[in-house]
Amino acid sequence: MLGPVAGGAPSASASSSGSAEAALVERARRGDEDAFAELVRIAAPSALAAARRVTEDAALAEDAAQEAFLRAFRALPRYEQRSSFSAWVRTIAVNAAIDIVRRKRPESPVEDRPARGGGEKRQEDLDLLRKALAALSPIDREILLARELEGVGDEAIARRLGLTVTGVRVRVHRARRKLRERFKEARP
Amino acid sequence: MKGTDLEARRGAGCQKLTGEALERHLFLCADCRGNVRLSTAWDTLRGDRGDGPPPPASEAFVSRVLQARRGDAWRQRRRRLLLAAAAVLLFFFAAGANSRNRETAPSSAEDVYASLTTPSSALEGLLPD
Repeated sequence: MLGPVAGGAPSASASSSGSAEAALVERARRGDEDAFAELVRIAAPSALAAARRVTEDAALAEDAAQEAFLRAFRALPRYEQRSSFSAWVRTIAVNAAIDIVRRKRPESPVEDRPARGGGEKRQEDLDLLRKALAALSPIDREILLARELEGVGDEAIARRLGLTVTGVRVRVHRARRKLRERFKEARP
Repeated sequence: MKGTDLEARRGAGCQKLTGEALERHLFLCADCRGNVRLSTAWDTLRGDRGDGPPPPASEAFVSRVLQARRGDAWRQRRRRLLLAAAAVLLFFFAAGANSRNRETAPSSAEDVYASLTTPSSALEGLLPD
């Protein structure tokens, strides 16, 4: 299985699996359903896991991952392969999961919950991050997720979203500040 | 959280602190504590928290996605077809309206003036030879 995008130089096996993935993407672009099915098998585990971390619900996570694959398929002609297909779909899945949770669950104040243990504390922080991301504008959220989850650079994001590089940097700076403020205000 | 873990995540405000000094600082400094928690939350979301590789997706999920994709492709095709039909109808409507306008349009001001300055044949008989 292909892992999420790495910051350093890709290893030999990673680059060979990357080229196999690129071939699958190319075939899927031409409408090859088998290639798309193979891409789903490759990318689904990380997309489902990330969506489940956001939704805390297996069924909602599957809905989010499915929505992510549909969005990815529609956007395949614009996909530049700056990150692995798995990382790209995972980012879309997290974005879709945030939208699904916002639609289905009314926000409950995290700060009112009783004190928790280590694992629950981690989930609490993740919940706080989800809410902070949900409060961002869709475009700021997309930019930040591409940066933090996919590891894509400003230039690639700017091209993907039709923005200037400076515009992307300004939005990243602003979005990060909002997230930091949200975590600073949260109960320790 | 372990000390080394905290040290990896500390922000600019506590770069030089390590171990217990860092923990003490985090206890008091909301900014740095927020940065550490935010960084940990990103790691959790990425799946970098040592939970192991996610299990493979079930074939039921794969076929569900493929079925949804087929439905989506069909809907997109239908939408494109409807848009094309609407465009063709609009084109014929516009072309028909234009040709009708041309048939019923009054003459231009220049044409009316030109007809006034040309003597009519009915008056020609009154002219001296």
